[in-house]
Amino acid sequence: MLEYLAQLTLNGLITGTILALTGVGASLVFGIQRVANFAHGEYMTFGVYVALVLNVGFRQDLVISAVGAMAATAVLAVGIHFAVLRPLRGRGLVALSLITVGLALMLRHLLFLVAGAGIHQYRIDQTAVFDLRIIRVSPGQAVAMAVTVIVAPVVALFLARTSVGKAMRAVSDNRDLAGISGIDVDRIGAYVWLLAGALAGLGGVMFAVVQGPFDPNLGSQVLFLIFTTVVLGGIGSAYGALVGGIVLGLVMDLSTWSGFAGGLDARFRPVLAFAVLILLLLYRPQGLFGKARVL
Amino acid sequence: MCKRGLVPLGLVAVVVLLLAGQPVGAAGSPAFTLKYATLAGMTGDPAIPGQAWTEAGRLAVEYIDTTLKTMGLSDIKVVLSDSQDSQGVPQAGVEAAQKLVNINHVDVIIGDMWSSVTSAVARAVAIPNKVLMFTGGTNPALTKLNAPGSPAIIWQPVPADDLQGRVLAGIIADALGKTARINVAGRNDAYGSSLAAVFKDAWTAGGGTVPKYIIYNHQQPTLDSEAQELVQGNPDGWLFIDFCQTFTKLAQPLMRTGKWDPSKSFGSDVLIDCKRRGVQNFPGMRATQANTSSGTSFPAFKALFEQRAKRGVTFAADLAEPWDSVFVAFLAALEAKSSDPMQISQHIVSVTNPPGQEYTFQQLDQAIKAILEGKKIHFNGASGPLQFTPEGRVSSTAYDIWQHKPDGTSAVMKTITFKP
Amino acid sequence: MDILNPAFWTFVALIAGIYVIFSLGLYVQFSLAGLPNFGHVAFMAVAAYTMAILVVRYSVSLQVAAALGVAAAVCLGLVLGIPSLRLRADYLAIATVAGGEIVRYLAMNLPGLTGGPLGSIGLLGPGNIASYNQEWQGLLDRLTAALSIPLGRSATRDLAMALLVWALAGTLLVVFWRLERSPWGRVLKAIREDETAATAVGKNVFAFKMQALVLGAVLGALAGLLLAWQIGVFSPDDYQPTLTFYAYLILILGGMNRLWAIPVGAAAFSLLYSGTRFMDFFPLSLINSGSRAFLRLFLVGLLLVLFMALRPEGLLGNRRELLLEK
Repeated sequence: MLEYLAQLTLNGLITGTILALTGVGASLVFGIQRVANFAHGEYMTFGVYVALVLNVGFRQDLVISAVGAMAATAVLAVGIHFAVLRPLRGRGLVALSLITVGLALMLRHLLFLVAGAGIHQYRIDQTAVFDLRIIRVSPGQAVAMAVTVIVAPVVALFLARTSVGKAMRAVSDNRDLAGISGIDVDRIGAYVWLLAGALAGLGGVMFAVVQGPFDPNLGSQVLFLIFTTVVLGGIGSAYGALVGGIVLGLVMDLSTWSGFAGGLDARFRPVLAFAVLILLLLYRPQGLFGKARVL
Repeated sequence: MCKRGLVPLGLVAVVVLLLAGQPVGAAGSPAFTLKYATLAGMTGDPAIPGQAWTEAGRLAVEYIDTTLKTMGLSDIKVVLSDSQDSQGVPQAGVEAAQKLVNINHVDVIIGDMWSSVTSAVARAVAIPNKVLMFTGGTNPALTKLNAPGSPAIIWQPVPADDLQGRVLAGIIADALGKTARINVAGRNDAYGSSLAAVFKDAWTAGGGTVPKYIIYNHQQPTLDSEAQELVQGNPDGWLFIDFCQTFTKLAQPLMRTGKWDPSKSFGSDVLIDCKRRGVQNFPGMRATQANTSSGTSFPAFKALFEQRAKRGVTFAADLAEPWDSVFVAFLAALEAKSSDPMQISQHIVSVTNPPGQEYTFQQLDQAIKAILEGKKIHFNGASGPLQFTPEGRVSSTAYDIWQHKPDGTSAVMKTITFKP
Repeated sequence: MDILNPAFWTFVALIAGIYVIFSLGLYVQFSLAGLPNFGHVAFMAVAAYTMAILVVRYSVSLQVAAALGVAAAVCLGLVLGIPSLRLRADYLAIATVAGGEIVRYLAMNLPGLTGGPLGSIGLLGPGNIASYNQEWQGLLDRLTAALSIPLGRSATRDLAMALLVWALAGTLLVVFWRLERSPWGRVLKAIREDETAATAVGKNVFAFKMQALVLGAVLGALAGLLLAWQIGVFSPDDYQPTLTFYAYLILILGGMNRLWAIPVGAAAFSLLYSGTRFMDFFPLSLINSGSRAFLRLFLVGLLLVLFMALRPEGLLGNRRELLLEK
């Protein structure tokens, strides 16, 4: 029983940290650019496939492939920002969101065209296992945990200590005030896309590493979970997304524990996530860490 | 003189009239163009199996076309008029089928892969327009859409859930005992949930129990929690109903729990052999397919598909269904000497059942010759001896049990006859 | 290839008509009242499932089942609306998407209630084909028979359905056009422009928004019922969020703030969607059909982006009236 619970906690933490890292980028983008980026899942998938090319095609190890994926996705995100989203800023939230829907369609099917309608896997032995007595961990999960342990504090420090990071938080919090106080809002906006893209690429690779076999539908399958993370943490709050992602991951996995009156049927986890999302929006739309705004 | 020239002219006129009255080629052999279409979910969630389905259909038509050309039978043609994307959505499937039937005027639709889309297309398009459909859906009620007494329009080349579920119950009972505790895991779609339900009914009726019955969303990134649940309580065995690529997502965490024993696990027909790029076999695991190991052309089909299919498409055991369907429709058309769907329908039972010399796709040229000579044949498909009933279902009772071997390959270990 | 076969295009026209009704519902909610409802498809789903369950399991007559289906959609609107109408636009969008997805997931995972992933044919359990539209087919047959008097052989069932759907769509368009120009419509527009000002002059903003939501639900329900009757079978996959996106695309294609642009947008959208099924001409026929399927959806996405970028006011709209967000 304890073992079951421990394993579920681990699974929840791993899913949660992936959601957290990707959610940071999405949250900042939503807060600063004020666009619900429906293509965020596809950015993750793009990173996954760049890493695949590096890992399997060029026989690079996973770390280099992941770094390559982060760089490529960051470039993609910034590129789309300058080419499509910035010129069309004035159209408004709904229009921009619909544009991102169109971009998502384009990106996903482009990946299908290039990668083919098949499944792929990185060069990791997914059946190997590290037995830590009460929990058992796969190499993929170990990698994901290691990455999070390293990257999450780095991101948090970046946002807390560096001037760019602080500027990002400022713009996300109050765009006009930040602009008045001398922050180049446009430039920060571009940097945010770089960060969001890099984190999306990393998050995607981690999902793929943990999942095992994947196909170009990977990103779209987790998009709504990312949105839930963003709202849970508070739109625009990076720390909120970090915490929110972990909480969401844990809640979803632990809810299936048989100790909770038999546990929730695992199929209904997305329903739980959506219900949490709706309840949040109704009663605490600022999320865990956002500021309560006048609605 | 006039009178003498009239007789040969009259004879020529009679011959010309006889020849013009019917589509015949050289000396009474059939002449027709059989138009196929494939319909499957090619984008979205069903993209991966759907694209493979389309490829299998395309390769089959190409194979027949090449054989006909090699044999010099230029009056008989097969054509793949179009391949449409149903996206796995009944509404889109109906629109796609409307195009295939009303614009392309096809005779046979190889599709859809899913029961929900098939039922919509059947009702809305295929049955009113009398176009044959060979579906990959396993719902036993699909063939009930055929009006009794008239030639069947919906054909189901795969044993429906009601049959396969009971076969699985019989096989597991033989291996692990009738009262064993079997945990069941199935993918959450029409195929997985229906087959799992039939198995559960059959298993509990026979005295066994199903302590854990888990239908999971195969699109989820991780299935770790499901894997945890499945090993709880130390069951006597497991049954998995899924396709290889998504099953791997469950199998990997299962192996990590250290409590899963593949040799006590059974799979549905699509898990008989998972070894290919990106997926692996699980030594000891068993799965069943309606087939006879003698005379089967399944390995040859698998080799041909892997060699000729376009890059990126992955092979799966159920691809034998669209493959076989193309051949069945063609051979029936040949025997009927016509590409009219209703005529074809009346000959499908004849070409897929004994009596008659057995032919696989590898002996297609000989089968064609035999039919042209008026002989009876029995086409043995890559998915089995077929033996279609007039209602549209397959009735072969021989089942192969495949087992994944320690070296990672998979082979037939036993063939059983199922007594329904 | 019989490209101009009327049988196919009648079908396309009929689906376009149903989309007009669906998009009109969205128009009332979004363009009139400023509510970005991204879960509009849930109204379709709830109405269709309610009607089908009642007909198949409880042998309720068609009219009653249809009325109850619409009522169910209205209930969903109320349940969703009461808490969320006070939300900001972007939060409302997310909340409605989540609501719609909950409906779809529940439909997929409660096979005892909804037939599960198999769809409506599974409503009577495994091994049975559940059918709910015999009465509707009977109605259509009578209509077709009536039509064949003037039209003879070209009077098909689909033609009868298409005429019925467009007659209904036309009527609804007129009704809502009048409503839009009525005092009620003006208050809604005021609310959309400046909610605070509207409240300041004493209008019960919440009530007006709720009315718009409910009317949108009714229209969505009607569209869902018509679609369910036409296709004869539906499954949870029919009600993905993409359908709501298509409705937005229809509104945009025509012109966001013009009610009479909706049929234009629906026609343009249907042509786009169905037209891209015809990509088997040279040089595209050189591409494998599997890749063409991907290319088709890539093109739909590209056109969506291009259209939003280059002509956001739609085919009939006016740049000056451009208002896509409050």
